[in-house]
Amino acid sequence: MSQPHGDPALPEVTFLPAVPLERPSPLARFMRANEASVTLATIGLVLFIGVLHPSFLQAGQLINIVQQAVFVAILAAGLAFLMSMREIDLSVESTFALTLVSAALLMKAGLNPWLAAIAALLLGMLLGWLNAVVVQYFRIPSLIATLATLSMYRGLVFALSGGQQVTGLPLDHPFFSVLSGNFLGLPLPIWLLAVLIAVLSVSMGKTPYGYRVRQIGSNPAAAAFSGIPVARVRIQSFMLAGLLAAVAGLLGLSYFTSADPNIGSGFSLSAVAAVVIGGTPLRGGVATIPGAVLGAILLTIVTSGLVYFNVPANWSQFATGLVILVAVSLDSVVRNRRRGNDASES
Amino acid sequence: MKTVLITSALLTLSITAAQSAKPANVAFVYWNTTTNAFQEMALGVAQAVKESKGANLVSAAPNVTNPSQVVSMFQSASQTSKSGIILQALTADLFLRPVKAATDAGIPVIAIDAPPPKNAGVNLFVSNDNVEVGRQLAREILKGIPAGTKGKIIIGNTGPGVPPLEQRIQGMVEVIKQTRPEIQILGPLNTNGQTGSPSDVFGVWNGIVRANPDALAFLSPSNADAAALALIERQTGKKLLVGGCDLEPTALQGVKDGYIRVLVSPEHWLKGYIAMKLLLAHAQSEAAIPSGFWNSGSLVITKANVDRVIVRQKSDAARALALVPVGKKQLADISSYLSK
Repeated sequence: MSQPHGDPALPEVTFLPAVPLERPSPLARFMRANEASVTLATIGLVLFIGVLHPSFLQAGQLINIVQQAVFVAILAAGLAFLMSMREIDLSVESTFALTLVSAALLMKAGLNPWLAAIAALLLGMLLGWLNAVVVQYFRIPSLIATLATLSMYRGLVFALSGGQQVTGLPLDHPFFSVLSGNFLGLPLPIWLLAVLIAVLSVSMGKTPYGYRVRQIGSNPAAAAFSGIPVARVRIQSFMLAGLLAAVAGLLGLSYFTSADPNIGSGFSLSAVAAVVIGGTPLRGGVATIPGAVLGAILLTIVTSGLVYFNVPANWSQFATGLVILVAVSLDSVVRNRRRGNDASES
Repeated sequence: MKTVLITSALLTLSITAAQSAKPANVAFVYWNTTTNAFQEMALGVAQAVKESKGANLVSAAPNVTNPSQVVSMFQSASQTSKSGIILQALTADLFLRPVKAATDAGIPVIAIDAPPPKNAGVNLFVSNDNVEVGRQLAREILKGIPAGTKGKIIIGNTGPGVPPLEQRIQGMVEVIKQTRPEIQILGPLNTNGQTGSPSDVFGVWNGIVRANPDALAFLSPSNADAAALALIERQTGKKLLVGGCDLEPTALQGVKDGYIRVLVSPEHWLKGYIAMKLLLAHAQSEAAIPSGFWNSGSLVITKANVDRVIVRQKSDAARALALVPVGKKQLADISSYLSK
């Protein structure tokens, strides 16, 4: 059709009536969540043990499990940030121990326990900063760097404590009674954990910092190219992990009422396992704080379950490893299925 | 005295009666499954349960040292084993809260090997006099050093800060200083290495021996060291004067072959056996659990008696054959072994 000079003619377009998009059901939305597998695994394991041993479902036992899981859960929450940006910090268990022992030594020397706690928190951040400096400026992979600081910080624990347990602490001070006390029927550390989950989840999902962490994990080169200050975010994340390790250390000191130089051994691997079981993929780019916490709780349920089933003590490590493998495999199957469904829908 | 005799008699009757008494769910929670000493305790506990009809035992420990996991296991055992728990925890203070929660709930807890947390409601501690173990070790080793000899004795320890080991060192140092003040004591040196594995301990001792070729003797309160030193002697052909503790099979063979002069056994099996017998007597026959410190004794092992000990250690049945009579003798005579 010939047109006079001016705007080109638009083809005739027929608009179809609007079709409302089907909103996925809450169950479908839950199943798509990163923490779906670990949630199902945790509930499933609790029910399995509870059906066979009903005393496992008593409130006291379940509260004990969560309380014991608090330390690794907090470490895992910090690691989730690092792992989502493709970093790792194996020294968190040593930071946990060093801040715990340092606070104990300060208290034993007469410092007010609350001030000793503040000093421990600052120490945790310092230890995290040191990790970041080694990784960032010496360009050593975080796996290797923090493997070294794992030994260094633990070595400092033994050096400062003389290899001895630090006892004789002021147990009647509110630091010990409040931090290990109960609030509305639950131990305070559990409430603290809930608050941390909320704050860290918001930080990860809704703040510029969390956005940067995830973008760096998704594509470090693209993140740097787009102006994200990768070095600064890395330092912040390592310091956050150190700070959270110190929080866990202080809760540990309050609960255990003494500082043992071996405390926390094995926590790093448990925390990494918890993060992965919880649904944070090793490839980075995404993280789930509730998943990491649930992963830690799942591991503690396994430890408790071994006692209920009277698994021979020499088989306990095998059993724990098997459960981790099953949980991670389940998560992988669910993710692969989800990817397959997404691909077929598109 | 009369009260003690009556209590002993009642206890003996109770223990015998427990063989056909009511069901009891009991637990043994201990430090790890891989240390020989703790394995011996677990075997003693198991034998005591085997002798009691109706007793169900949960035996829980991590495979490697992991104090917080032991705490978790103890808390679970508090749910599964209401009749009582035997606890072997090298750092007892960590257990103050969970143990107090258990005893406040009416679950009896008996501590063995290492002292219980204070004010946690644990009234009975079954162990041996570790200072005396150290003294016995030093006395036997000094027999191999001619009087008036000057030089140094090296003490190594894979568990710095562990109370039973520190007490043994205290006993060693006390005897050496009192009887041979001219001998210098070097250590205690940390012989744990990175992980405390036999190869790590061997590596550390190898270095110590090379650095101190003129040392008069090498002592240790912990279990892996004597075996490591025996291996060094085998490999180098160098004769050393060695003393250690516990009943590692390779160490016993070392005594037999002449590489180790003396081992002192804290008789861990007896601790587990006696503690569980007392707990079951309470759970099944309502006998009172005695209060205080029960010294289950120790055994000096040299070439003169090592063959008997090796035979004893060959199997669970052999241990039971040799040690049950010893345990029962102690249980029938509380006053000789229990102190307040």
